[in-house]
Amino acid sequence: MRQFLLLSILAYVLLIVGLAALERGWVVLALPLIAHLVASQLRGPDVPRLAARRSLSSARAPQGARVSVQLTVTNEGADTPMVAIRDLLPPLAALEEGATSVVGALPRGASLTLDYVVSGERGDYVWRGAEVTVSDPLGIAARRLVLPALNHLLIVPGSQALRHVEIRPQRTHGFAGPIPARQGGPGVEFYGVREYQRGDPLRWINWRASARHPRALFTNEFEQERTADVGLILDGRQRHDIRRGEQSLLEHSVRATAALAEAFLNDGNRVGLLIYGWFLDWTFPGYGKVQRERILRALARARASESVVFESLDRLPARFFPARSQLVLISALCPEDLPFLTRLRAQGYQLLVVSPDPVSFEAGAFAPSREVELAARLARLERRALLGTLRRTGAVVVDWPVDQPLERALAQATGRVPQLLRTISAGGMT
Amino acid sequence: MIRIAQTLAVLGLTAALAGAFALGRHPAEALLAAAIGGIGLLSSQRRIAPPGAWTGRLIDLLFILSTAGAAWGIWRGLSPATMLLATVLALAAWDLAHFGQRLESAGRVEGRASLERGHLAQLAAASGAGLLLGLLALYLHVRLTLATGLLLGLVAVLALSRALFLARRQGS
Repeated sequence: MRQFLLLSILAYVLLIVGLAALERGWVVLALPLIAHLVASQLRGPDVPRLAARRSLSSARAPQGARVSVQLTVTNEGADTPMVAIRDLLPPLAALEEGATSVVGALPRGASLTLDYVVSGERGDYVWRGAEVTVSDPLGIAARRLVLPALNHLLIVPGSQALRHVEIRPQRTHGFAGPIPARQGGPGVEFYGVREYQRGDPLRWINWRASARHPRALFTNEFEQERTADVGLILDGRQRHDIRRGEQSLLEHSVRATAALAEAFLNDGNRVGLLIYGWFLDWTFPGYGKVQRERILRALARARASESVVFESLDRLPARFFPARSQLVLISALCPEDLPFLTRLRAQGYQLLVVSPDPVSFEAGAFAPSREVELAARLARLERRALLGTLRRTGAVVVDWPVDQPLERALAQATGRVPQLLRTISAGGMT
Repeated sequence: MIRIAQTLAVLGLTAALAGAFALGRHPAEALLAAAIGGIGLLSSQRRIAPPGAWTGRLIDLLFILSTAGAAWGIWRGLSPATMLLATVLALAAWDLAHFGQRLESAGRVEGRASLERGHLAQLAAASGAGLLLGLLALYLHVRLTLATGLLLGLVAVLALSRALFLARRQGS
């Protein structure tokens, strides 16, 4: 296009100035340019009839995986002397191998194929089309068009496997599972003693209690283990997404959420997910592998964003979650969140807060100095006070330094470690 | 192949322009033409001028300067045939430079040899036709009446409107 314009302008300037100045030589100089223009138009491209088809080796891939892409452009019209094809990569996709553009001749019925490999961070990648420039052999007259070829690639977050997460909601389902149901019946953990009823296994009889009451027999009861409703809440507010170079605290939160979802679903629980950020991204509760896929897809799209409406947790609709169910909040936390979390506890929700430690994460970004150390210490004190207040409401709080495995932090906070040891472990660094 | 042809075109252009100015005792213009040729030769080296927006603009600028140089040469009374030859060579060098850039900026070139051959053949035909037309115009004298002149002017206006239409169509 630019070449065509330049030639036209030069030719006309020479012609007009030559005529005006009555200088034959200048008019003559315009003739090769005009011949060039005419030659390009004689074999100029017609309306091209091209079709693009793209295929991906996988429509869903884990983070860090390489995905092969093949784009084929077929000429369904007349011969095209020269065509340049450029695949329009999604903005954040990284080209690992191969080329995304090709130049060549495309006779009628022939195809040009582009093969390349991409990778990317967690997210939803969309290929909308391929840019094609068809031109005459001289490349002066060109037509540019975008051929539609829609493809999606979902890169889901990677997660570490968690064996079992100890939770204890007030309400459970009727199905057998790993969660203590606060009801006597068949189980493993001792729950209480009741009077013998016909049909009770003999090995359940509590002989010591029965010996004290000669006229009665007593049977041991065990705590039933059931499945439960678990609501995962991922805090996607911008204020909590602290960045350290290329790393983001939200990425750790997303991976933790994926790991927790997988662990709860593996235990047979019904799990839902709410991403709280720019809007409420709600994944309706469900069971099994299909639900795992839904949650991973939602997490793949999670982005840190700021919204005036969802600036504080007050707008979080607790009614999305069944009453007295288990809620798991994954958030770096700030003091303004405390009243809402206290209210959730008062409404009967069991609350597990997994809090990636923003202080140690951010402190790692600075060169060690006395000032940084002092600031980090102050911030840690403030955070410790906040988490302490939250623990006093009855919530289980996991203070997770993200450079450590989540499983260890969860085991420390939720495992059956004696309270004294847990206190020492939590306060041991002071 | 393209690079060799481009280099030859630039050398020919420089020789024609600078030689004509030097022989016509215009040393300043001759030096300027040699400088333009030198920059043109440097810009044909991919390592010095990789494909990109600024290289494309430089190629355009050199082409405009060369054509302007040829027009100036005619104004200063140099041989119109030599200046015509310089313009044709400048056009060829400019065309080849843009073609080379298109190939270099693509990730892959399918059938490079046949593309280059096809382009060179087209360029030779177009440039040859342009040169021939120019020479005919130089050595054929036709006396025009006012009406014929007006008619030719009308044809020029129509051709301009057609060119603009084509340019707009390509842009869309």
